[in-house]
Amino acid sequence: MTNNAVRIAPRRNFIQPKPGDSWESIATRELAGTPLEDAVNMLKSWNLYVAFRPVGAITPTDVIFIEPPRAG
Amino acid sequence: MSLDLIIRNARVCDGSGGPSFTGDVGVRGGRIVAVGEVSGDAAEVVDAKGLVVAPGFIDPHTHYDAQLVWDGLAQPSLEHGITTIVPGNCSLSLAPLRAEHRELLGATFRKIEEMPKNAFDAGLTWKWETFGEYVDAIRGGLGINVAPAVGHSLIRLWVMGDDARERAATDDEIAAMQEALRECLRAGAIGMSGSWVDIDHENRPVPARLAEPKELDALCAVLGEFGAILQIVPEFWDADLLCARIDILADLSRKHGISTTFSPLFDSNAAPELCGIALERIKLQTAHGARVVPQMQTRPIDLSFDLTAPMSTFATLPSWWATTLMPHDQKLAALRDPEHRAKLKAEIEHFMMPIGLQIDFADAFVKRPGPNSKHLEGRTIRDIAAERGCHIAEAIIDVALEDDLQTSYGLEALGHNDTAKIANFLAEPLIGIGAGDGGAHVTNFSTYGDTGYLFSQYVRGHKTLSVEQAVHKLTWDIANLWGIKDRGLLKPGYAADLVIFDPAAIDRGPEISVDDLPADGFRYIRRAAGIEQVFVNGRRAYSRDGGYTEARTGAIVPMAA
Repeated sequence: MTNNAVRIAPRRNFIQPKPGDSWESIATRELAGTPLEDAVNMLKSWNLYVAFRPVGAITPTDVIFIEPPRAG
Repeated sequence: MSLDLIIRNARVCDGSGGPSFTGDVGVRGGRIVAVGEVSGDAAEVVDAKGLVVAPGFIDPHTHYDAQLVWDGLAQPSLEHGITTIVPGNCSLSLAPLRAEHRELLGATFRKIEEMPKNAFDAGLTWKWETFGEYVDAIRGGLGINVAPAVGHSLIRLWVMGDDARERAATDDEIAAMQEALRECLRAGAIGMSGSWVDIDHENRPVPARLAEPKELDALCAVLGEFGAILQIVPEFWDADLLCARIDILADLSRKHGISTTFSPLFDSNAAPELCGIALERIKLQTAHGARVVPQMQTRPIDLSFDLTAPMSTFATLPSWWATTLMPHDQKLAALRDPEHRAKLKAEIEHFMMPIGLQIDFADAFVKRPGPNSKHLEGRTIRDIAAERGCHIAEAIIDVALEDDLQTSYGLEALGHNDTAKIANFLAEPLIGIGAGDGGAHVTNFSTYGDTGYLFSQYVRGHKTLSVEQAVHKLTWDIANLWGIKDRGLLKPGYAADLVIFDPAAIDRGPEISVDDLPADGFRYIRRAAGIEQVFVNGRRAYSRDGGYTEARTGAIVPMAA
């Protein structure tokens, strides 16, 4: 994300991957405190469009949600 | 004073969206010199009583990059009233590009924009590497104005070579990309395009998708230096993803003082709330100083398919996709093989809908029959299968086999087809008209006629837009967003890009196939209805009675900044 004076709460919390990120590294960073395997599975379930991509890799431009869809 | 052209007694819709009035437009030296009551004489006087005169329409989302090399009129866009086009969208332009990457870029371009290889190869004579050289290569033959965007994927390839497809850029490479972008903007690029979704011919992300956020940020800083725009393709099928992308674009817009636009904003049964959610997000970000403008196309999605090559219709049918990739004789054998046919039949019964589309293959109809299936033209696969007592998959296969696979089928209104709902979105001031894709998908569906369709469906039909508002959305709204200088308004000093049309008749014609691509290729187009005359920089480029003229007064249009 760019630096910006305006802060608007996202509709759903997300990050963009850092160089070399994997599901494990994102889970460790963003879902600290959750067992790694559970955290990776949660992340994948919230980001099916990446997890089920035919050529599977996370790209640097991806949006990765770090919470489940919100109701409504 | 003697003028070159006076259009008299017209209903003047000046592009501002304000009330129209009866009056005249005077032109001299390719520029508008007077609007209102114009006295004096002119070399040519056109009586436009009962007709609208408006600024030429602007199409901000095309892929005419290749066609412009062999057709400087960008047919048939001109006859639909369009006098300025923006090619180079979705991270893909044809420059800057080194000779060693032509094959790679060509394959990527053809895959994403669905261009036939024979036509692409036969029509393109590569005479350029830099963006300026590309502009020079097309400039002389233009009958339509061109505001070309430069693709982010091209800039990456130019600086990083093959590594652009593999990895993130170093800081030095990002700096080099900034300089390459500056050079393109100085040479005539109107802005930069990107993509967050496209995959190439090898199913790899296009180079732009391998850019870290700091790379896009650095390139947007350059766009800010020039007052240029960023266009991008987001994940348009999911509301959460789209809102995240709107937020990212809003941050870039505020930080660098740039306009951003994304395409498409697309309505479908798969995500019926999406457009409303996205619009609310855009309103919120606009209220906080960002400029993020979605492009919505006016027409529903129609698709054609045949069995000669992989097409988007088969995106979620892997066995059909693989079959279309086979060499011709092997394909014929496979399509006759009972075991293979059983697999294809099973797959079509249980296939997953492509994102945002509602496809029922029984509704497909014979659209472009071969010699042996002429008698089936227009009939649905449902009818043919019932008549033959076979499965719909077998009907598709057998009718194709009877004509050596040359038969083409059509599917209509697969998505973005709730016109009552779309009418309200198109009337929203924050939603732009665009995403038409002119020059692309040429054998899959016609990407032309969206301008006429806007008037027939939404001005005359749903009545959610006035003629003045529709003209505004096709002219000044786009010129202002894209920073296109001196166009989009009927105003003294502005370029004399003019369209004269009948507001009661303007429309798109039926989809037809024409054999006008290089290498005897065909494509689907639509002819215009109700467009009387089109002028580009003061010269008549098209008239309903005379067709296209010899005028080649199109220009590479500069930025307003």
